[in-house]
Amino acid sequence: MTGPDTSPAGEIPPSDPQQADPWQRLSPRMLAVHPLHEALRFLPVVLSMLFLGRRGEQLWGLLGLAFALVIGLARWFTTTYRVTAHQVQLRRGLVRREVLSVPRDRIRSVDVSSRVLQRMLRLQRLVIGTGRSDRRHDGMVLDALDVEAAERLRDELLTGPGQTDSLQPAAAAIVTADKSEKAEMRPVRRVTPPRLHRPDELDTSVTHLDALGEQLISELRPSWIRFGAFTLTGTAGAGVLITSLITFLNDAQLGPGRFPPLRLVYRQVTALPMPLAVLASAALAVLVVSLLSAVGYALAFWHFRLTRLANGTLRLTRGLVTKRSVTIEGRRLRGIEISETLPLRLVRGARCTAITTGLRTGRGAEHGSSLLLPAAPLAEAHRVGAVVFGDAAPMDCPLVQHGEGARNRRCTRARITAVGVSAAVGGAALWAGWPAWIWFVSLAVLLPFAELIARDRYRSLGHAWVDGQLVGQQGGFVRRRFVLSEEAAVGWIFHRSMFQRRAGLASLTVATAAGRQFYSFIDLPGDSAAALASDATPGWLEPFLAPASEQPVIDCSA
Amino acid sequence: MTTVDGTDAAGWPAVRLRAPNGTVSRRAPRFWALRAGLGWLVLLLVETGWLLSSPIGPAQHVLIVVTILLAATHLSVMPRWRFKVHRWEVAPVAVYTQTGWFNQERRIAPVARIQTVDTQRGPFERLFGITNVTVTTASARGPVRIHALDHDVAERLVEQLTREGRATAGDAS
Repeated sequence: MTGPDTSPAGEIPPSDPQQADPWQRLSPRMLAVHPLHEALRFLPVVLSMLFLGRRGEQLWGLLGLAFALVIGLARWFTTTYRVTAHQVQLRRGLVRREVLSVPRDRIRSVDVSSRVLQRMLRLQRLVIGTGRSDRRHDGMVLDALDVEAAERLRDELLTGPGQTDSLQPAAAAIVTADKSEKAEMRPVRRVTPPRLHRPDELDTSVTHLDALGEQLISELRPSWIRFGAFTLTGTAGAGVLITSLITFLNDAQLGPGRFPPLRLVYRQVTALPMPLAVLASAALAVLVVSLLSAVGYALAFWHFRLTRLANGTLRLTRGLVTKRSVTIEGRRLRGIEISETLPLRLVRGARCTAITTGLRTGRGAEHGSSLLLPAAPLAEAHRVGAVVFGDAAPMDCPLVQHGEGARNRRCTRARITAVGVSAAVGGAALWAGWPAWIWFVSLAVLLPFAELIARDRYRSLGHAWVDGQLVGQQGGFVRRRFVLSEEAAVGWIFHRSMFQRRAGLASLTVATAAGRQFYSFIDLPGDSAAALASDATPGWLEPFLAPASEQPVIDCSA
Repeated sequence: MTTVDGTDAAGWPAVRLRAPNGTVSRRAPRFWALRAGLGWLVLLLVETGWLLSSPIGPAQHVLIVVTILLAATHLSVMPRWRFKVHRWEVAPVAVYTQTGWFNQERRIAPVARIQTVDTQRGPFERLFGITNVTVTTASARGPVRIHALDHDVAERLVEQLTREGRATAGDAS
């Protein structure tokens, strides 16, 4: 990430030429919210001290609470920031003063979020992501600003010097995307709250507003919540709910007999024979999980909107209670990933993720891959991918299958797993003294199941080289298709295990600075690994290619 | 506008990678043998110590004999095999390496995308005049390692790669 030329800095009018970028404070209204948040964080400790502690400890608890409040208040007095033509600076700290400076062309993302209390007071928390890995809490946090100030700052930073170059094909592809009939976009009016400008900053904000021609790419439709039920994100929530319910019932000395509806359910279940009871409770668990998943989906993705600004920056806003806004800089986009989990495939749903350069560790937009579209219809995922990437073909083009050898490997693996699992079952049966037929039954059930999985995994496996993009797909339980632009490749890895060599297969991995850092085409037949790599990056392999007449490459040269 | 190249394996043009040209240092096999031999020696010492301190039965003698046999096989086969298998080559556009006995791996890193070129020399390596070179790219999966080069070869390689890498602009990611 060398700074592209920082010369056009003159294009950005400093917010106030006379005062030479004054230091600014956070919103004074944060004083009302922040101490409360700090206190909430300490609440468990304080409460336990107040109610469980002895007399002396109660005092300490109160002192701690007061301390938290003071710290919260002090934040406002100690934190100031300013935006100059070239960098953003943040001063903070009461005892240990810190000054953080970020060159504006290194800003990778500007994320805005607001919690419930903050929303009530029209405050927003702004995180400036810089892609630094040495800091635990990534980048700069301005917690919190007025909505107007936050939005203005975000727009200003996103149209800053580093963002003006159009190094990225996707940015240029906005124009071409219109031609594709699949990729329809409607221009939208920005829905911004009425702005209460301070007179000295009015000019900049207006010009930047004009510069941002925002285009709507996708928006949540309420019917998508049905896909939320198939995401299984509620599993953890269900676990917590059930354990806490059980703990509560135990603590309150409420046996299942006390509570009429529960008693009814309990009676029904215990009346059933054992296998049916197991099935019934499994069904109940699935029901609870999918219900929670749907609720979680609605909470997280209500108001979901994906838009693109004129400079190619993608902006994603979402959230029912806690509102989040994530920006993805267009020039960091290297590809698209479309993933379908098995439950989602049942209802033809998929997620769409952006493959961007950035950090491997971290969260949000700084994570190598960031969500573009939550679980939604597959066609919508294809459309979003096409619009964002500027090329519709790779999203759903037919793929080249990898042939007999690859199919055999899928089958062998599935069968070995099935036999292994049923052997474990058999061993357990032997040990526990269960009847021996359990082993045969498990084998009879698992083998056809394994065959199905193997066939499905083979059908998912494929690759293509379309319009200068690498396309690969694999996986059964989670089927992923990645579309990677050729310039994303920073290296190739050809891998042949002993088994692959015997089957005449090779796996090809493309190393990249984006997303997962590597994307693999597994079990490519014959020479197609080298052919694919040399198609994508013709120059790199050329010096190392054998004349066509030579003996096959499979020789291990040993 | 959709062009899916080829329909099956037979449809692909005959494109084959050959093995890289360069071999590692002539001294490398002896170095590997010494390093592996030291490992075996430690194991043997432990086993002998166990035998002397608390003799249990003939199984311990068998264990030691088996260890010696394994060590002899390993030390006689491994260095030569590894010398044949570990190969490397540098062209103006890219670095190309091959490693692995059973799981063969070939890596290509384009010179234009090189981020850093590092060399490592441990005490044993210095004894044999051997240097390891690591070429990293912007990808966490990208690094290309060339093990056990002659010291002067490695120096020339590093010099060449850094010179050519500097010639290309951009952030190589």
